Amino acid sequence: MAAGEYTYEPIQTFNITTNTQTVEFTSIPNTFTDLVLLFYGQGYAATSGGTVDSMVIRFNGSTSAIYGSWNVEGRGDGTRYAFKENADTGIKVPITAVSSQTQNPSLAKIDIQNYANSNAWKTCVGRYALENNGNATFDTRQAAGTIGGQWRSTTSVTSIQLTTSAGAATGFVSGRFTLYGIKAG
Amino acid sequence: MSPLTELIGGAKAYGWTYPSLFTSNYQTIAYVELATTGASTIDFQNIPSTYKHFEIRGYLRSRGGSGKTGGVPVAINNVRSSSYDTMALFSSANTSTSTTSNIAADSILNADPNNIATGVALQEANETNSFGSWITWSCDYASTSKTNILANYSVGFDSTSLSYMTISNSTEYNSVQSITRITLDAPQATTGWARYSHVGLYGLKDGVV
Repeated sequence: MAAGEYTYEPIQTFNITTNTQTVEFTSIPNTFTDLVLLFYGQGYAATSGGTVDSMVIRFNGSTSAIYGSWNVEGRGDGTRYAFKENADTGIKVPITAVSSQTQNPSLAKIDIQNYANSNAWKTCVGRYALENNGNATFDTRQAAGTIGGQWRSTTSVTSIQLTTSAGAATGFVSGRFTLYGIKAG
Repeated sequence: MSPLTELIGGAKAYGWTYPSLFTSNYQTIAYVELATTGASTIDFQNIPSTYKHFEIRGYLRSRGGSGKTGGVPVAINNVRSSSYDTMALFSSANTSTSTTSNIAADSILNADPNNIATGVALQEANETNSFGSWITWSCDYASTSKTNILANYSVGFDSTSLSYMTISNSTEYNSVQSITRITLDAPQATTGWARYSHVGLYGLKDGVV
Protein backbone atom coordinates (compact mmCIF):
# COMPACT_ATOMS: atom_id res chain seq x y z
CA MET A 1 0.00 0.00 0.00
CA ALA A 2 1.34 3.40 -0.91
CA ALA A 3 1.54 6.16 1.68
CA GLY A 4 -1.59 8.25 1.67
CA GLU A 5 -4.04 5.42 1.13
CA TYR A 6 -6.70 4.75 3.72
CA THR A 7 -5.34 2.72 6.61
CA TYR A 8 -7.97 2.60 9.38
CA GLU A 9 -10.53 -0.10 8.68
CA PRO A 10 -13.39 -1.64 10.66
CA ILE A 11 -12.97 -5.41 11.07
CA GLN A 12 -16.06 -6.47 13.01
CA THR A 13 -18.80 -5.08 15.28
CA PHE A 14 -21.02 -6.68 17.92
CA ASN A 15 -24.08 -4.83 19.16
CA ILE A 16 -25.30 -6.48 22.38
CA THR A 17 -28.77 -5.59 23.67
CA THR A 18 -29.42 -8.49 26.06
CA ASN A 19 -27.31 -9.97 28.82
CA THR A 20 -24.32 -11.65 27.19
CA GLN A 21 -21.49 -13.37 29.03
CA THR A 22 -18.77 -13.21 26.37
CA VAL A 23 -18.06 -11.40 23.13
CA GLU A 24 -15.33 -12.77 20.90
CA PHE A 25 -13.66 -11.49 17.75
CA THR A 26 -12.33 -14.49 15.83
CA SER A 27 -10.28 -15.00 12.69
CA ILE A 28 -8.59 -11.63 13.00
CA PRO A 29 -6.49 -11.08 9.86
CA ASN A 30 -2.76 -10.50 10.28
CA THR A 31 -2.63 -7.75 7.69
CA PHE A 32 -2.63 -4.84 10.15
CA THR A 33 0.08 -3.51 12.46
CA ASP A 34 -2.27 -2.39 15.24
CA LEU A 35 -5.80 -3.09 16.38
CA VAL A 36 -8.15 -0.61 18.02
CA LEU A 37 -11.03 -1.82 20.19
CA LEU A 38 -13.92 0.53 20.94
CA PHE A 39 -16.44 -0.31 23.65
CA TYR A 40 -19.52 1.58 24.75
CA GLY A 41 -21.84 -0.21 27.18
CA GLN A 42 -22.23 -1.70 30.64
CA GLY A 43 -21.51 -4.82 32.56
CA TYR A 44 -24.50 -6.70 33.93
CA ALA A 45 -25.08 -6.76 37.68
CA ALA A 46 -28.39 -8.28 38.73
CA THR A 47 -28.30 -6.65 42.13
CA SER A 48 -30.44 -3.61 42.71
CA GLY A 49 -27.51 -1.25 43.03
CA GLY A 50 -24.90 -0.63 40.38
CA THR A 51 -21.17 -0.82 40.88
CA VAL A 52 -17.89 -0.74 38.96
CA ASP A 53 -16.30 -3.93 37.72
CA SER A 54 -13.88 -4.86 34.94
CA MET A 55 -14.07 -5.84 31.32
CA VAL A 56 -11.53 -8.62 30.88
CA ILE A 57 -9.57 -8.88 27.62
CA ARG A 58 -8.03 -12.23 26.70
CA PHE A 59 -6.10 -13.19 23.59
CA ASN A 60 -6.53 -16.50 21.77
CA GLY A 61 -8.68 -17.74 24.64
CA SER A 62 -5.69 -17.94 26.97
CA THR A 63 -6.53 -17.91 30.68
CA SER A 64 -2.93 -18.32 31.85
CA ALA A 65 -1.75 -15.82 34.45
CA ILE A 66 0.56 -14.05 32.02
CA TYR A 67 -1.31 -10.78 31.66
CA GLY A 68 -0.54 -7.45 33.31
CA SER A 69 -2.76 -4.41 33.83
CA TRP A 70 -1.70 -1.00 35.09
CA ASN A 71 -3.98 2.00 35.28
CA VAL A 72 -4.15 5.51 36.56
CA GLU A 73 -7.40 7.42 36.87
CA GLY A 74 -8.81 10.70 38.07
CA ARG A 75 -12.17 10.69 39.82
CA GLY A 76 -15.05 13.05 40.10
CA ASP A 77 -14.46 13.53 43.80
CA GLY A 78 -11.02 14.99 43.07
CA THR A 79 -9.00 11.96 44.08
CA ARG A 80 -6.47 9.96 42.05
CA TYR A 81 -6.22 6.23 41.96
CA ALA A 82 -4.02 3.55 40.42
CA PHE A 83 -3.92 -0.22 40.36
CA LYS A 84 -1.51 -2.85 39.12
CA GLU A 85 -1.85 -6.53 38.32
CA ASN A 86 1.39 -8.12 37.20
CA ALA A 87 0.24 -11.74 36.83
CA ASP A 88 -3.43 -11.93 36.04
CA THR A 89 -5.64 -14.06 33.77
CA GLY A 90 -6.67 -11.13 31.59
CA ILE A 91 -6.22 -7.42 31.01
CA LYS A 92 -8.76 -5.55 33.12
CA VAL A 93 -10.50 -2.34 32.06
CA PRO A 94 -12.84 -0.65 34.58
CA ILE A 95 -16.48 -0.46 33.43
CA THR A 96 -19.82 0.13 35.10
CA ALA A 97 -21.97 -2.86 36.11
CA VAL A 98 -25.70 -2.24 36.33
CA SER A 99 -28.99 -4.02 35.84
CA SER A 100 -30.32 -2.12 32.82
CA GLN A 101 -28.85 -0.89 29.58
CA THR A 102 -30.42 2.51 30.21
CA GLN A 103 -28.11 3.09 33.17
CA ASN A 104 -24.61 4.44 33.61
CA PRO A 105 -22.56 3.90 30.44
CA SER A 106 -18.86 3.15 30.15
CA LEU A 107 -16.56 3.99 27.27
CA ALA A 108 -13.18 2.49 26.41
CA LYS A 109 -10.69 2.68 23.54
CA ILE A 110 -7.90 0.14 23.65
CA ASP A 111 -4.97 0.17 21.21
CA ILE A 112 -3.40 -3.26 20.74
CA GLN A 113 -0.02 -3.10 19.07
CA ASN A 114 2.11 -5.55 17.12
CA TYR A 115 -0.55 -8.23 17.60
CA ALA A 116 0.52 -10.29 14.58
CA ASN A 117 4.20 -10.47 15.52
CA SER A 118 5.37 -13.91 16.69
CA ASN A 119 8.61 -12.71 18.28
CA ALA A 120 7.54 -10.25 20.95
CA TRP A 121 5.00 -9.86 23.73
CA LYS A 122 1.82 -7.92 23.04
CA THR A 123 1.30 -4.52 24.62
CA CYS A 124 -1.82 -2.39 24.66
CA VAL A 125 -2.67 1.05 25.96
CA GLY A 126 -5.98 2.85 26.10
CA ARG A 127 -8.36 5.32 27.66
CA TYR A 128 -11.62 4.78 29.47
CA ALA A 129 -14.38 6.76 31.12
CA LEU A 130 -17.29 5.73 33.29
CA GLU A 131 -20.20 7.52 34.85
CA ASN A 132 -21.80 5.83 37.84
CA ASN A 133 -23.32 8.68 39.78
CA GLY A 134 -26.93 7.52 39.40
CA ASN A 135 -28.56 4.11 39.81
CA ALA A 136 -25.51 2.94 41.73
CA THR A 137 -25.29 1.84 45.33
CA PHE A 138 -21.95 0.12 45.76
CA ASP A 139 -19.58 2.29 43.75
CA THR A 140 -20.72 5.73 42.65
CA ARG A 141 -17.51 6.53 40.83
CA GLN A 142 -17.20 9.00 38.00
CA ALA A 143 -13.79 8.50 36.47
CA ALA A 144 -11.54 8.86 33.46
CA GLY A 145 -8.33 6.94 33.18
CA THR A 146 -5.48 5.47 31.20
CA ILE A 147 -4.96 1.72 31.10
CA GLY A 148 -1.92 -0.27 30.02
CA GLY A 149 -1.82 -4.00 29.50
CA GLN A 150 0.46 -6.76 28.37
CA TRP A 151 0.13 -10.38 27.29
CA ARG A 152 3.44 -12.13 27.83
CA SER A 153 3.22 -14.44 24.88
CA THR A 154 4.97 -14.34 21.54
CA THR A 155 2.03 -16.06 19.85
CA SER A 156 0.27 -14.02 17.17
CA VAL A 157 -3.16 -12.79 18.24
CA THR A 158 -5.91 -14.31 16.11
CA SER A 159 -8.87 -13.86 18.47
CA ILE A 160 -9.89 -11.48 21.24
CA GLN A 161 -12.32 -12.51 23.95
CA LEU A 162 -14.15 -9.96 26.08
CA THR A 163 -15.90 -10.91 29.28
CA THR A 164 -16.17 -9.57 32.81
CA SER A 165 -14.23 -10.42 35.93
CA ALA A 166 -15.50 -12.74 38.61
CA GLY A 167 -16.66 -9.74 40.62
CA ALA A 168 -20.11 -8.20 40.62
CA ALA A 169 -20.66 -8.26 36.86
CA THR A 170 -21.81 -11.35 35.01
CA GLY A 171 -21.25 -10.44 31.40
CA PHE A 172 -22.56 -7.38 29.62
CA VAL A 173 -26.08 -5.99 29.83
CA SER A 174 -25.49 -4.06 26.62
CA GLY A 175 -22.63 -2.83 24.53
CA ARG A 176 -21.33 -1.94 21.13
CA PHE A 177 -17.94 -3.49 20.48
CA THR A 178 -16.02 -2.61 17.33
CA LEU A 179 -12.58 -3.81 16.31
CA TYR A 180 -10.59 -1.72 13.83
CA GLY A 181 -7.30 -2.48 12.11
CA ILE A 182 -4.57 -0.01 11.18
CA LYS A 183 -2.30 -0.79 8.25
CA ALA A 184 1.30 0.26 7.95
CA GLY A 185 0.82 1.95 4.61
CA MET B 1 -15.86 19.84 -3.58
CA SER B 2 -15.32 16.12 -3.97
CA PRO B 3 -18.25 13.73 -3.45
CA LEU B 4 -16.58 12.40 -0.31
CA THR B 5 -16.00 15.85 1.11
CA GLU B 6 -19.56 16.81 0.29
CA LEU B 7 -20.82 13.68 2.03
CA ILE B 8 -18.76 14.40 5.12
CA GLY B 9 -19.92 17.99 5.19
CA GLY B 10 -23.52 16.87 4.90
CA ALA B 11 -23.10 14.33 7.68
CA LYS B 12 -21.56 16.96 9.94
CA ALA B 13 -24.35 19.39 9.18
CA TYR B 14 -26.88 16.88 10.43
CA GLY B 15 -24.79 15.86 13.41
CA TRP B 16 -24.31 12.34 12.15
CA THR B 17 -21.37 10.20 13.11
CA TYR B 18 -20.12 7.64 10.65
CA PRO B 19 -17.04 5.69 11.70
CA SER B 20 -16.47 4.70 8.10
CA LEU B 21 -16.21 8.33 7.12
CA PHE B 22 -13.81 9.03 9.93
CA THR B 23 -11.63 6.06 9.21
CA SER B 24 -11.53 6.75 5.49
CA ASN B 25 -9.84 10.05 6.25
CA TYR B 26 -7.09 8.48 8.37
CA GLN B 27 -4.06 7.95 6.18
CA THR B 28 -0.51 6.76 6.62
CA ILE B 29 2.10 9.49 6.21
CA ALA B 30 5.09 7.32 7.14
CA TYR B 31 5.73 4.05 8.91
CA VAL B 32 8.99 2.70 10.32
CA GLU B 33 9.60 -0.83 11.60
CA LEU B 34 13.11 -1.72 12.66
CA ALA B 35 14.47 -4.99 11.29
CA THR B 36 17.65 -4.70 13.34
CA THR B 37 18.66 -3.15 16.64
CA GLY B 38 20.79 -0.04 16.84
CA ALA B 39 19.09 2.98 15.28
CA SER B 40 19.67 5.95 17.61
CA THR B 41 16.78 7.96 16.20
CA ILE B 42 13.49 7.46 14.40
CA ASP B 43 13.04 10.59 12.36
CA PHE B 44 10.00 11.83 10.44
CA GLN B 45 11.06 14.71 8.21
CA ASN B 46 9.16 16.84 5.70
CA ILE B 47 5.78 16.14 7.29
CA PRO B 48 3.25 17.44 4.76
CA SER B 49 0.84 20.23 5.68
CA THR B 50 -2.00 18.65 3.72
CA TYR B 51 -3.62 17.06 6.78
CA LYS B 52 -5.41 18.84 9.60
CA HIS B 53 -4.33 16.63 12.50
CA PHE B 54 -1.87 13.81 13.06
CA GLU B 55 -1.54 10.76 15.27
CA ILE B 56 1.62 8.85 16.13
CA ARG B 57 1.46 5.23 17.24
CA GLY B 58 4.65 3.80 18.74
CA TYR B 59 5.59 0.30 19.91
CA LEU B 60 9.01 0.86 21.37
CA ARG B 61 11.91 -0.51 23.34
CA SER B 62 15.34 0.98 23.76
CA ARG B 63 18.16 -1.42 24.51
CA GLY B 64 20.72 -0.77 27.17
CA GLY B 65 20.61 0.73 30.63
CA SER B 66 19.29 -0.85 33.76
CA GLY B 67 15.91 -2.52 33.87
CA LYS B 68 13.36 0.24 34.16
CA THR B 69 10.74 2.17 32.31
CA GLY B 70 11.50 5.60 31.01
CA GLY B 71 10.66 8.35 28.61
CA VAL B 72 10.81 8.69 24.88
CA PRO B 73 12.76 11.87 24.17
CA VAL B 74 10.97 13.63 21.31
CA ALA B 75 12.12 16.72 19.45
CA ILE B 76 9.76 18.79 17.32
CA ASN B 77 11.34 20.52 14.32
CA ASN B 78 14.75 19.44 15.67
CA VAL B 79 14.36 21.88 18.60
CA ARG B 80 16.14 20.77 21.74
CA SER B 81 16.03 24.01 23.71
CA SER B 82 13.70 24.86 26.61
CA SER B 83 10.56 25.01 24.53
CA TYR B 84 8.30 22.37 26.05
CA ASP B 85 5.88 22.40 28.98
CA THR B 86 4.28 19.20 30.21
CA MET B 87 1.50 18.27 32.60
CA ALA B 88 1.11 14.61 33.52
CA LEU B 89 -0.98 12.18 35.53
CA PHE B 90 0.86 8.94 36.02
CA SER B 91 1.48 5.91 38.17
CA SER B 92 4.81 4.18 38.25
CA ALA B 93 7.29 1.91 40.00
CA ASN B 94 6.03 -1.20 41.74
CA THR B 95 3.42 0.38 43.92
CA SER B 96 -0.21 1.27 43.39
CA THR B 97 0.27 5.00 43.58
CA SER B 98 -0.49 7.89 41.34
CA THR B 99 0.68 11.43 41.12
CA THR B 100 0.69 14.50 38.96
CA SER B 101 3.51 16.65 37.80
CA ASN B 102 4.08 19.86 35.95
CA ILE B 103 7.33 20.38 34.09
CA ALA B 104 8.03 23.80 32.70
CA ALA B 105 10.62 24.74 30.12
CA ASP B 106 11.95 21.30 29.42
CA SER B 107 14.73 21.11 26.88
CA ILE B 108 13.12 18.35 24.92
CA LEU B 109 9.73 16.77 24.92
CA ASN B 110 9.87 14.90 28.24
CA ALA B 111 13.44 13.71 28.41
CA ASP B 112 13.16 14.37 32.08
CA PRO B 113 15.22 12.81 34.87
CA ASN B 114 12.04 12.14 36.81
CA ASN B 115 10.81 9.93 34.01
CA ILE B 116 7.83 12.11 33.23
CA ALA B 117 7.53 10.72 29.79
CA THR B 118 5.73 11.51 26.62
CA GLY B 119 5.98 7.85 25.91
CA VAL B 120 7.31 4.88 27.74
CA ALA B 121 10.01 2.67 26.40
CA LEU B 122 11.66 -0.17 28.20
CA GLN B 123 15.36 0.09 28.81
CA GLU B 124 16.32 -3.42 29.69
CA ALA B 125 19.29 -5.01 28.00
CA ASN B 126 18.28 -8.57 28.73
CA GLU B 127 14.57 -8.40 28.15
CA THR B 128 13.96 -9.00 24.50
CA ASN B 129 10.20 -9.37 24.37
CA SER B 130 8.70 -6.46 26.25
CA PHE B 131 7.83 -3.20 24.50
CA GLY B 132 6.09 -0.01 25.54
CA SER B 133 3.07 1.48 23.79
CA TRP B 134 2.74 5.16 23.03
CA ILE B 135 -0.09 7.04 21.33
CA THR B 136 0.02 10.79 20.73
CA TRP B 137 -1.83 13.26 18.57
CA SER B 138 -1.89 16.93 17.71
CA CYS B 139 -4.52 19.15 16.13
CA ASP B 140 -3.98 21.82 13.48
CA TYR B 141 -0.25 21.08 13.44
CA ALA B 142 0.34 23.05 10.23
CA SER B 143 -0.96 26.29 11.73
CA THR B 144 1.48 29.18 12.04
CA SER B 145 -0.68 31.25 14.38
CA LYS B 146 -0.88 29.14 17.52
CA THR B 147 1.32 26.95 19.63
CA ASN B 148 1.01 23.20 19.33
CA ILE B 149 -0.14 20.77 21.99
CA LEU B 150 0.47 17.04 21.92
CA ALA B 151 -1.80 14.77 23.96
CA ASN B 152 -0.31 11.44 24.93
CA TYR B 153 -1.05 8.20 26.68
CA SER B 154 1.39 5.39 27.09
CA VAL B 155 2.51 2.40 29.11
CA GLY B 156 5.66 0.41 29.70
CA PHE B 157 6.54 -2.58 31.83
CA ASP B 158 9.73 -4.29 32.85
CA SER B 159 9.10 -7.84 34.04
CA THR B 160 12.55 -8.22 35.59
CA SER B 161 12.24 -5.35 38.01
CA LEU B 162 8.41 -5.36 37.97
CA SER B 163 8.55 -1.63 37.34
CA TYR B 164 5.93 -0.03 35.17
CA MET B 165 4.62 3.34 34.15
CA THR B 166 1.18 4.31 32.93
CA ILE B 167 0.82 7.92 31.98
CA SER B 168 -1.60 10.41 30.52
CA ASN B 169 -0.16 13.80 29.73
CA SER B 170 -0.05 16.76 27.42
CA THR B 171 2.87 18.81 26.22
CA GLU B 172 2.88 22.28 24.73
CA TYR B 173 5.52 23.16 22.18
CA ASN B 174 5.96 26.88 22.75
CA SER B 175 6.31 27.94 19.15
CA VAL B 176 3.87 28.93 16.43
CA GLN B 177 5.93 27.09 13.84
CA SER B 178 4.20 24.43 11.81
CA ILE B 179 5.31 20.97 12.82
CA THR B 180 7.33 19.61 9.94
CA ARG B 181 9.64 17.20 11.73
CA ILE B 182 9.39 14.82 14.68
CA THR B 183 12.37 12.91 16.00
CA LEU B 184 12.35 10.11 18.56
CA ASP B 185 15.75 9.80 20.21
CA ALA B 186 16.60 6.47 21.80
CA PRO B 187 17.04 6.94 25.58
CA GLN B 188 20.25 4.93 25.27
CA ALA B 189 21.75 6.37 22.12
CA THR B 190 24.75 4.06 22.06
CA THR B 191 22.62 0.95 21.80
CA GLY B 192 19.60 2.50 20.13
CA TRP B 193 16.08 1.30 19.46
CA ALA B 194 15.45 -2.42 19.58
CA ARG B 195 14.41 -4.66 16.71
CA TYR B 196 10.64 -4.91 16.16
CA SER B 197 10.09 -1.36 17.41
CA HIS B 198 7.66 0.35 15.09
CA VAL B 199 6.25 3.84 14.78
CA GLY B 200 3.54 5.05 12.43
CA LEU B 201 2.70 8.67 11.61
CA TYR B 202 -0.86 9.12 10.40
CA GLY B 203 -2.66 12.15 9.01
CA LEU B 204 -6.32 13.01 9.53
CA LYS B 205 -8.31 15.20 7.16
CA ASP B 206 -11.27 17.17 8.41
CA GLY B 207 -13.36 17.41 5.24
CA VAL B 208 -13.09 21.19 4.93
CA VAL B 209 -11.64 22.40 1.63
